[in-house]
Amino acid sequence: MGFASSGLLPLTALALIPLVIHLLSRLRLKRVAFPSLLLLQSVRRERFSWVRMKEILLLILRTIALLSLLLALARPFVRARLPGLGQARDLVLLVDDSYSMSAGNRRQDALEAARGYVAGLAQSGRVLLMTTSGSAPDTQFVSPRAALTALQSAAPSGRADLLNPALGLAAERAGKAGARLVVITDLQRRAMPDSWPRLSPAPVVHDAGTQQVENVGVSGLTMLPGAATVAVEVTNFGTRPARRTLTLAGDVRVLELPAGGREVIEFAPQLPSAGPGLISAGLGRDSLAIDDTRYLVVPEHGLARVLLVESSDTVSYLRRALSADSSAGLELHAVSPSAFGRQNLERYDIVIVADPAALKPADWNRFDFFLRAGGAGWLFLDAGARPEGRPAYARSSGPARPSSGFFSVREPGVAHPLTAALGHAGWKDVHVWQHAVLNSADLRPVVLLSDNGPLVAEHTELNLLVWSVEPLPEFTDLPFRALFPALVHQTLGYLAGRSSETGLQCGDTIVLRLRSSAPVTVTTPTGRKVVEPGIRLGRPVLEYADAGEPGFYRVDVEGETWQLAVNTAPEEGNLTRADPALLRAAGVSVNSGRAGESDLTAPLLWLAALAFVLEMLVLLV
Amino acid sequence: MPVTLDSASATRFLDPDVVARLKSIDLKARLVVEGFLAGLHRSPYKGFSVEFAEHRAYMPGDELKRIDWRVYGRTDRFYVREYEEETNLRAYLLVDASGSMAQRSGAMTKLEYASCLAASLGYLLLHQKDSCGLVVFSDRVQTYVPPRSSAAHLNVVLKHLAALKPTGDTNLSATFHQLAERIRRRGLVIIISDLWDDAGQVVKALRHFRHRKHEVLCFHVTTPEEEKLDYRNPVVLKDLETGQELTIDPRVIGPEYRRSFAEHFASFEHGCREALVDYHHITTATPFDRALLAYLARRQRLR
Repeated sequence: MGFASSGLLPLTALALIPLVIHLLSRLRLKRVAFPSLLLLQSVRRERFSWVRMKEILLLILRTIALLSLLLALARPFVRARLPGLGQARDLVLLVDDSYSMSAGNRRQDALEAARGYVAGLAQSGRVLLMTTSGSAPDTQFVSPRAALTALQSAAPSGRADLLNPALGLAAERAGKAGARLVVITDLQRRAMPDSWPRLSPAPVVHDAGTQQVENVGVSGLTMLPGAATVAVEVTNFGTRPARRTLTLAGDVRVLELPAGGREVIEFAPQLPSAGPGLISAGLGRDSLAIDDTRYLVVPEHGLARVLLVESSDTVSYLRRALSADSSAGLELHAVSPSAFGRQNLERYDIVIVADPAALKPADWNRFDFFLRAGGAGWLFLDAGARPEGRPAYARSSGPARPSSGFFSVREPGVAHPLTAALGHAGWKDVHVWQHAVLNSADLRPVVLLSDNGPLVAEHTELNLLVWSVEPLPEFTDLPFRALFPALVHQTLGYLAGRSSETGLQCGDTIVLRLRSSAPVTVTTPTGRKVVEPGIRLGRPVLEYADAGEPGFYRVDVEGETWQLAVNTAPEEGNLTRADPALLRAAGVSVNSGRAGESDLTAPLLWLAALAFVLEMLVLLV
Repeated sequence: MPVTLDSASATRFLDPDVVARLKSIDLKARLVVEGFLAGLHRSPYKGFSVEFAEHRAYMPGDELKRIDWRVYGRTDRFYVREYEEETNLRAYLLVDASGSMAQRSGAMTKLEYASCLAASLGYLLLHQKDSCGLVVFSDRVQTYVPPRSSAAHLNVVLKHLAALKPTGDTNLSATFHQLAERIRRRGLVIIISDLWDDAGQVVKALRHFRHRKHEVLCFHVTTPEEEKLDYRNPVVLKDLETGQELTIDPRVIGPEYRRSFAEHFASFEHGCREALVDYHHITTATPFDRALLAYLARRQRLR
């Protein structure tokens, strides 16, 4: 037997109150001189036994009622044999420690469930405890007691999307050891794997997210180009309307969000005249605290050094757009593809390849080296590109030509920071006569065309944007649209912003190109660490992988300082759950509630009520 | 010099609460009796002496045989003859001084009430030239004062009554049997007790008095508290004789106790009626004239 709220157990001492009152009342009884107890003693033989019994009965019933209520507060439970686990000897226990598990009492429920599963094993059984974030200290099967001890230190610290790879690893370990696999998760829909591992017997999924949790989070925080305006996106992930207070730099707004609603609020904070601006937008704490505040570093305004690689005058559409705004903060340098090999790329922040067909394999190697060393790239992919000697992201599988004359933009992806400021309107009349078909799995679409092919895509790891069309009239009329210059500048701003690593997410590795190989001081929201930089491609690079806590990070090395903002993924706060019935239909065994436990709270409350009713009956008799 | 009271003032002293304020027992006795006699002037219980004292106007309730027809012939009005008492009555006042008599109700304990009543009866008896003796008892005879009819004997009786202290247990039947054997000459036995003993045994002992040709007048003195047991909250009752304690909840035990107490009374009443014993239940709140009237009624039957 255990208690979910064992901290309340001392309150059970209050059950002695009836006994104390009873004893005190006996001590305080009035003493009266009486001539003779002769008659009373004869009456006593008939009535006193019942009176005494009634008194004791009332005392017992009152004590039971009070004790039951107080014990119910401590939420007692008893453990029983675990469903679906059979006579397993060894157990691989995969505990979802994603941020969503910190909502409500999910973590507590998960820990209790894990204890239940481990306690249900035979004495000689062994446990391999794994967490989705990989934070579990043990990599070998250990005794149930050791596993339980390790479990105490498990805290939500990982992204939801880590469940999928962790599940594969856990299934592999369980399969090799012939152990049962138990996955304890809140069934957050975005974390659910596409397919569950085929194990015999089937894995058991324990649903620790049965508690309904309402959550509102700050899902976006971006600096809008042009004016010093910050856009804050707040999303109500819950099923009920919510009223929340949003605060940014002392500016307080009250928001009324419908269920599932999303709202973008603009602020005009005062930014510092020198140095980067640190901005945080916060809501009051709710059941999921991890997404209640979002952080943004506004980099100090400076010139972005841009190298434009072009081979013909037709690309001047792009150059004209780049020079349309003299205040754009660009230092533009244009070279022909043949001169690209002679350029020192370290001098540039962004490299634009507008004519990829003219680059040689050695040029592609230099471009790829530049990107992997932290540089930003913008690539206009040609439809008839030759794949030989190119990186995967620069290859296409031929041109896509429309049968109806042109493609239009189907999904501009306005939630993306790149296109957020442009809205829907400008995309409406854009026509594309032909585009390259991107076939790299590392590219994710930002703007989709009507044939579902991406017009703009970004690399998942590198700071690279790829257009599937060249900015020429024979491929698209986009260069003649008002949207084009804005899109070009937005793209450069986005790339420059990503270069300064302001868009880090929890769990990302902070990578910074350094000029010095001296020790680096990393100041995190919770402390300070000194890190030795590594060497990548012959240059000192900081690779800091412990950015699991959202907040501001500061990197200092020999007079140079970087300010970084680390946030949770915008959708991390979406606690929408997968339907357990669908999992069961897919052959996955799903348990819920406290694993192998029977909650005694309700029976105790019934017992208290019964004792109360009996007390009333005894009083009436 | 004796104080003379008017009728209204005198009757105040029939109230136990008023009497309790007086310190001297002889004063108590005198004032009670005077108050009683003052009340008697308006009652039919007047005059049972054998030597003529005076005439007074006839009042409804007076016995017809006491009308003086000669005076009627002369005056055409009804007068009755009143007589001075001529007595050979020997009365024994048996006062229970056991521990149970210490129970207080209002201004007096049962023993104070009993002693005051005994003093009044003694005063009345001696005032009427009867002989009056006193027996104080608990589980045994504590004091025995033989009956005398002299005026000075009143002081002896009152002195003993004034010195009464509640003590000892109750053993009525044994004591009564002992006294029945001890009092040889026929007389009037007046018992003042709370009768906390087995009713059957006590009645049997009273029959012993009757067997000895005594007239028996029994005053059963109780308090309202012991009759009704009407305490509001649970109490610890302490037996005044044994010291034993008992915790009771009057709300629970009360009805059963009152029923039992009524049966206890009924047993005495029935037993005394069968034994031809005058039984009177009085409480410490009962005015003294009721007991004195009971005595007078019995006295009248003894003529």
